This record gives sequence, C-alpha cells and structure tokens, in this order.
Amino acid sequence: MISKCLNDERSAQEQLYKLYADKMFSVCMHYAADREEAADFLQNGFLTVFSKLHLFGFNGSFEGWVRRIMVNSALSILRKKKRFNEALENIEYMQELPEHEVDMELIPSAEVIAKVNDLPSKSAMVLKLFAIEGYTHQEISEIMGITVGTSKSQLNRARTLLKIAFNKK
Amino acid sequence: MKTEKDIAKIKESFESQSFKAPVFDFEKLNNSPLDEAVKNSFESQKFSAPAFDFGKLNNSPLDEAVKNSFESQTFVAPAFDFSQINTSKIDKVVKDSFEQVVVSAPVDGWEKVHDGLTIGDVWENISSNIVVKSNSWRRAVSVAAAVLIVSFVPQLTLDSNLYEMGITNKADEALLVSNETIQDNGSVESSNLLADNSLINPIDIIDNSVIQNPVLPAFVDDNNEIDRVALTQRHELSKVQKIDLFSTVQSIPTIELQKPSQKRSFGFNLGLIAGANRTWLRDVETRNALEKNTISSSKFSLGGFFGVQGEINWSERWSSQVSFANGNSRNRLGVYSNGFYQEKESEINYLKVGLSTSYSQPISVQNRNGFLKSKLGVSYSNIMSSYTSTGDVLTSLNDLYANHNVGVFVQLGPEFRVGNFIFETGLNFEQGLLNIYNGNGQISSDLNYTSNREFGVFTSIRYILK
Repeated sequence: MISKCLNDERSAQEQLYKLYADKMFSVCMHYAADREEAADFLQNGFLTVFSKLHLFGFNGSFEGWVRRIMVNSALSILRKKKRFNEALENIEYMQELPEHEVDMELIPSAEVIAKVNDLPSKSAMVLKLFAIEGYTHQEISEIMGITVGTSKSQLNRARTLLKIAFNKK
Repeated sequence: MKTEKDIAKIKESFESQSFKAPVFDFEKLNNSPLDEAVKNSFESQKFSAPAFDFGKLNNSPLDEAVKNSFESQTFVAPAFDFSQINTSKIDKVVKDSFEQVVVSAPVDGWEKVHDGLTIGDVWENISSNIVVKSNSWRRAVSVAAAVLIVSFVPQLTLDSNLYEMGITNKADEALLVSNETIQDNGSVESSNLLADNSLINPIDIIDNSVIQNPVLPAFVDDNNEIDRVALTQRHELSKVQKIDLFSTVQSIPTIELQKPSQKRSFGFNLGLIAGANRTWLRDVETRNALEKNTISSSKFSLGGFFGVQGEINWSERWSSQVSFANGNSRNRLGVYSNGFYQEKESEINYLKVGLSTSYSQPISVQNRNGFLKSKLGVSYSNIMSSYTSTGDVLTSLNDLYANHNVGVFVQLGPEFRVGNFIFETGLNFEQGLLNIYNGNGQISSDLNYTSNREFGVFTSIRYILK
C-alpha cells in the first residue's frame, strides 16, 4: 500500500487514510480545542504524511511514524497560533500535597482528560508530549522552543497540579 | 604726693609712646642654621617597624569562638519527597486515559485531504517560470454585464408606465432612459465586483508552501529557528522555489491559481439575474421580411429581463436553477403602406418562470473556482401586456397576443466564485413554442402563427447560502 501511495495512487492513499484516520484523529483531539481544530491537524498531518512518505525508512513502526507527524502537525499549527506563548496562569503551584492521596488509577478516564486539559497550557502540553507521546525533554524543548530545564519544570508542575486536582475531590 | 604725680605723669608719658615692630623676615625662618641642624639631625635618625605577628591574627579568642560555634553545628538534610520523582504512575494514568478515547474522524476528512493533494499536484506541475494570461476580458465582461443590469431596470419600469397610459412618446422616453442610465452607471456595484477579483490571501499561500520536516515541522518557516533544523539540500531548494513563486504571484491580478480549490457539493445560492436580447415576434410579416419575400425589412429591436434566480447544486458539476423575471420582447418591422414607409412595432411584457439544469465544467485544472456552464431549460411566460403601433399610432393594446407562452432556452457561459459570491454570465437563446397571436378579428390566429425568439447575453450575481 505504501509503495502505491508513493506512486500517488489516490485509491491507495484513501485506503491508508481510512486505516489510520480514526486513530490519528483521536491523537489530534489531544491537542485540539475542538473537533474543527482537530480536523485541521488531521488534514495537515495527512498531507505531510503523503508528501513525506518517501522519507519513511521502513525500519520502525509506520503507525508510530504517522502518529509523530500528526503530533508535529498539531504543534506546528498551534505554534503558528501562538498558543505556546500564552502566559502561565497564576495558580497555586506551591500548594502542599495532601497527606492521603487518592488512587489515580480509579479515576475515570474522562475525568483525567478533563483535568489534564484544565492544566496551564504549557504544562499540559509538556505532560502530553512526555507521557503520551514519549518525547524526551530535549525533543520537547526543541519543539516548543523552551529550554530543557523549563520542560522539566513544566512537567513537574503538571504532575503536581494534577495530583492536587485529584486530591481536592 | 608730688612724687606720685610725677610717677604717674612719667608712666603716662611712656605709655603714650608707640613703637612699630620691625617686619619679620619669614624667609629667614627655615634657613636659620639652627633649624637646618635640627632638621638634619632628625632626618638622620632611622627607626625599624616591629615585625607583625600574623600568627596572632586568626587566633584571637573571638575568631576562635566564632569558628568553633559554626563547626559544632550539624544540619540534617530534609527527607527527599520520593513521591515527586515516582511519577510514572501519573504519566501512565494520563496516557491510558487519553488513549482509551477514540474519536471518529470527520466524514469529509478524506475529501479535504484529497483536495489538498490535488493542490499539491498543482504545485508540482507549476514550472518556475509562470506566464499568467491576462484576464482583462473578464473585467470587461463584468463591467458590461453590470452596465446592462442597471440600464435595463429603469427602462422596463418606464415602459410599463407608458403602456398603462396607452401613449408612447419616444423622445421623452429616450431622454428619461438616458438620465437614469447615467445615474445608475455610477453605482459602486461594478467596482465592488472588480475589487473582489483582486482578493488574495498570502497566508494560504505561505501555508501551502511550508516545508514540513517529519520531526520538526514547525520551524522550517521560522527564520529564528531555521538553523536548528537539519534541512536537506532538497528541502532548501524547494523552499526557495516556492518563495520565489509566491513573490511572482503576488504581483499578478488573479488569485485563482493559488487559492485552495473548493469542491462544490450540495448547496443553495440566490441572487439577481438580468439580460439583454435581440428579440423577434415572428409573425407572418416578419418571417416574410426575414426571408426576403417582401420589401418589408426586419429592424433591430432590443428587449430585456431582470429578476431573481435561485440555484441548487446537486454535485460539483450538476445543478438546477429556477428564475422569476420580468421582461419584454419587441419586434420592429419597416413596412410600406400606401407608398409610405412606416415602422410597425410590437411588444409583449411578461412575467417568466424558468426552470433549468446545468452542467459545469472546470475551466482549468488549477482553477477550480471557474467553470464553463451550459444550461438547458424551459420557461413559462404570463404575458401581462402588449401593444402594436404603426408609426406613432397605437393600433392595438392588450388584445393581440395570448396570455400564455412556453419556450425552451439554452445558456452558455463562464461562472466564477469569489468568496461567497457567484458571478455568471454568458449567451442566452430562447425560442417560444406556442402561437401567441390571438387574432384581431380580421386575421385568425391560425393564419398568423407568431412565436417569440430571443438571442442575447445574460448575467447573474448570486450569494451562496449554503
């Protein structure tokens, strides 16, 4: 299928799209404010996939490669929209952690997603890139245009705020 | 006593004397031999400073006490909060939560990607040397169409008023029409249409030309970050080409080449339609004149129509239209009556409903907003009024022609989309299918079969509602 796509065969490209569209749209939704924005990420991502398919080395997971492009596509658009440059919200960063912590694994996924999305945008972005996509701090720093130290501190901040958020319940 | 007086007098005498002290020669003060000797004696003396005992410096009791006090202190490091570092649990929960949710991609997602790929192909097919043909003809047609629209509206209105009066004064009519035309020609509508043609969105172009690096796509178009991206030579070349292309395109007046194609699907649009036609009411006399069977001659006569038009797009290519228009058809014939040349003029005024179906062919691969549209339709006309005059004498009013007419029409011309507006123009041909001659008491309708025929141009401006 990939070789057909490399020959610009539309039917093969459509097949490839349909194979990964739902999964990748879900990935795009992680970084989008709404479905419309996610659809933009998806379209931009697949255009990049098809235009850069010749660069895929066949030495790793194709899905992983596509996923990485989707994430980068989303970040690319967000960067243009200057969403990374939002001022950090003034929320209680230095709050002490409660003594009795709840078991996070028992929290419904929807709630986890909601809490993560409620985090300050920069912290949430670092957390998603680190935890979901497996990016290193070096990569995150390059993508987001921040220092490695900032990436680490934002990740720590995200985790701390998340803990606080869940223990407030 | 005398002695005391004498003593006092002597004392007073002495005290009344004043002596001035000699001026002190200060220069001699330092140069006296004694001073010099004293000075030399002191200077000849040498004293050695006692050696400083540095050992005593740190060993002062105070320093010692301070030192000992600090060294005797021991600080216990606070316990490290390992819950902060053992955060893989949070990460795992976040990851699992996000990955559990699968959202279906939008239904029209592939169409958008497909369109994007088509645009991509267009980019590949564009050579670095672009020759853009002039589109000045499009402007000329736009202006002509706008002039036609504004010219015919007052003319038709005026005609109706005159017919109600039953008298036609050609000189007054011509003057009034001329005034109205001049005023309406100043309308800003035409200039707006032209301005729309020059719309350009450089952001779209930049977006299309951004070279995406699979790992770091965001920074290739960022001058501050470009040195951080390991661009291959191929990437750099393609970027340069596209930037040059953009700068070339920016100076040309059209935008269709760069605009992303908008695939037309089901939708509605509504707007105005107007046209001008060379018209005939082909009765027996006119047909004979056209066939040169008589010395009568068919003269040029102009009719027009204006109204509203709605369109439903069934797909990118197929659509249907319905129009409601007010218009007229005229016929002029040069005849000889009793040896005198006279002009016989007939006219019908109608309200027309047209139904048509059209097929739109994209004008070019690059330009998906321009179409060549061919249309076939049928029309029904309700003839509202009519008259016939010979010379300046009105010979018939509202009784010579039937009330109903049916016709077929074809239209062919370009259609362009600019934003939410559709601009369409082209040629129009219509043929009446019924005998509209009613008979005048002397000639029955069967003996004077009369049908209308129109050939001209039309234009339509519509707004896309969906």
